[in-house]
This record gives sequence, C-alpha cells and structure tokens, in this order.
Amino acid sequence: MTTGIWPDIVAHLPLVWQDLGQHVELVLISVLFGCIVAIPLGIWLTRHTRVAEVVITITGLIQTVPSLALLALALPVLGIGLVPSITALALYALLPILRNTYVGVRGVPPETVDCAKAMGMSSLQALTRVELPMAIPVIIAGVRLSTIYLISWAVLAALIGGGGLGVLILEGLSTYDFGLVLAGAVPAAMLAILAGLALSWLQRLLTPVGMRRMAAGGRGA
Amino acid sequence: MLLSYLQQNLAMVMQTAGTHALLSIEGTVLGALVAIPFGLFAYRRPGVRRVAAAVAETIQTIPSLALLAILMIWFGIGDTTLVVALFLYALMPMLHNTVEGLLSVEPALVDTARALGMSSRQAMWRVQIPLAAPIILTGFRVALVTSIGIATVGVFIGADGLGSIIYGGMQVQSSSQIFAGALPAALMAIVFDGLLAFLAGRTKRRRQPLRQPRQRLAAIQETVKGDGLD
Repeated sequence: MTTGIWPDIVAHLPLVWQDLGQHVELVLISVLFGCIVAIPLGIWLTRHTRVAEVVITITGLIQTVPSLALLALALPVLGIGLVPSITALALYALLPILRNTYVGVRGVPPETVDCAKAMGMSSLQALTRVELPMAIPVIIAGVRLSTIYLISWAVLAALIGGGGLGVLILEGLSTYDFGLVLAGAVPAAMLAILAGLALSWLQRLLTPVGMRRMAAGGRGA
Repeated sequence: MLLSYLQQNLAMVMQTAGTHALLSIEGTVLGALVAIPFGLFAYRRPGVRRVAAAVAETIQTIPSLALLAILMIWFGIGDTTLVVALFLYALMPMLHNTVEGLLSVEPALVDTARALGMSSRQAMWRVQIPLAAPIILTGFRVALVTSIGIATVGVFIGADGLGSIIYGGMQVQSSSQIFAGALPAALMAIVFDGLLAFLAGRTKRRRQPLRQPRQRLAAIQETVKGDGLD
C-alpha cells in the first residue's frame, strides 16, 4: 500500500478497462431510459397536478429507501444478471429526473406562459419554446443527480450480477487485496466526479442565454 | 414466508437496527459539528464558500462503496471507517443548507436587530440562526437519511448494521432474511425523514415574526427542494 495507488491500478489495467466499460454501459442505458420515460411523464404531471402530488410523494418515499435494501429486494423479484441490474437501475434513474422535470416546468412563472400564448403560441408551442427551455437547467440537474446516483448504484449492481467496477472492489475486499480494491474504487470515484463536472457544464451550456445572468447572480431558476 | 426470518430473530434484528441507527446518527452529528460552525464562518465569504462547496460536493459524488473501500486502507476494517465516511457525506448537505439558511434571512431584520442594540453575535444567535433553523434542520435531515442508506453498505468493510443481515440474506438467497434487514432500514429512513421534516416545520412556525420573510423562506425552500437534495 505504501507503494502508492497508481502501480496497483496499472497492474490491473486490462481488467479495469473492461469493467469501466461495463460500468459506463450500465449507467448510460439506465439514464437514457430514465430520460425517455421520466421527462414526458414529468411534463404530463404538470398538467395533472392532483395525480402529480401523489406520484411525487411516492417517488420521494422510494428515494428514501437505502440503495442496498432496494437492490436486495429486487433480487428475488428480478433475479440475477445484466438485465435485472439494468432494470433496477433504470427504475431508480426515473425518480430524480421525474421530480426535477416536474419542479422545473412548474417553476416557470405562469405570466411568462400567458405572455407566450397572448403572442399567439399554441399550448404545444408555449411548452417547447418557453416552458421547456426555461426548465432545462432544473431538468439537467435531475439528470446529473440520477447519473451520480447510478454510478454509485452500479458499483453495488455487481452483487446481483450486473458487472462493472464493483466486481473489482468486492473481489478485492473479500480477498484482502487492496490493490484490486483501489483498481475498482479509484476509477469509480473518478468516473462519478467527471460525470458530475460534465453534466454541470452541459447544464450551463443549455441554459438559455437570457437566464444565464440570473443563474450566475444567485440560485437562479 | 417473507416475515419468518424477522419473527425468529426479532431481538437480533432490533439490536442490529439500534446499532445501525447509532452509527448513522454518530456520523451525521460529527458532520454537523464541523459543517454548521464552518457555514457560520463561510457564509459571508464568497471565496471560502465556493471552495468549500466544491470540495464537499466532490466528496458527495464519490460512490459510497468506493469511498468506503478507499477509507478502509487508512481506518481499517470496522465501524470507524463507516463513521468517517458518513461524516464526510454529511458535510455537503449540512454546509449547503447552513449557508443557504443564513443567506435567506432578510438583511433588514439583521439591521433592525443591530439598531435595537444587539451586538453582531447577539443578532446571529437571536435572529439569524433561529430564522435559518428550518433550512439547517432540513440539511440535517437529508444528511441523516443519506447516512442510514450508506450505513447499509458498511457491511462490505466489516461495519455493523442492517447491511449484514441484508448481505447475509443475499448470500444464502433467502428473501425472508433480505426482507428482515431491508424493511427496518427502509422504515428507519422514512421515520427519521418524517420526524425531522416535522421538527423543521415546528421551528419554522414559531420563529417567523414577519409575513414577508416567511414567504421568501418558503420560496427558498422550494428551490432547495428543486435541487433534488432530499
């Protein structure tokens, strides 16, 4: 251990590379699925506020449940392997994105939407040209949160046969091979930090120009 | 039967749940003891605030099992490593909410307090902290619920807690044993979440002297929620 972190990781590099790829794949598929389902659903919920309150409360409740507990509970229901892992991860990815889409679109001031309609936009136009662009920063924040959670969850997915960097960590822990532990843990940590930075950058990039100053000045939208 | 393991081992499960709660609370309280005073120091220093927030957020990003595994190399196998990790994870929500809470206090109220003859220390203790209390408590709530969740992962670095029951159940493929660990862990998170939300609500109602700040607070809490922290 005193020899430092890098030699250990370099020694296991081919394995690290393979598991990192698997890890990224798990997370990407799950987050994409989450976006495809949760963003339209979130928008739909803003039009049906009574249903929305129930749904948002339930998603909040599910997010409170410890990750290992949820994954373990999914095990008897979904079984072991890649597909069950992706299923569990994808379902969990929905929650932050759904919540933030709902909060983001609801957060657009009603007078702005009225303005858009007064200028002759249809409801659909107002949604795509005013509400969604204004909600984008909050929605991307949800995607970012989902991605970071999922990178963490995907480490645990190794337990139910999902592969990924968790395999190295768990194998290292059970054989007291600290080199192996670090070979899994350090790339996992770096992956999460880089993904967080990349999505923060994307969030700034996609924020409408008119809103940027607002966001820089304080908490913004 | 799903409940059979729980019925047969009720005393053991309860005891493990107690240990689990204590470890989670220990880590979160340690985090609060560092993050709240630091928040009081940093909230008026934008530079310090930004650097501290970036560091805390980076720690927060690291997957729990990865951080636990890395910390284990220094702190060894067992509860110490878990508590250190929980402490680190508690820093971000506590620091963020302490700063946001203090910034949410209407400056006019602080000026009024000073004009009435309070020292800046008195204004802090009698005006700013009480008004910021609901948001600070919300930070504690987020930190504690996160902590309860991460404590289940502690089993892999040899810490006590409900994770040992869950993981044991996964190894012998016993749904009833998994359930016996997962159910108390989930309930504990939900109960603490509700309890602290209730407490935050209480401090809010009693401490709000003016109408306008209350509405501002509500709006700020909405944005805090919008961050998806809870």
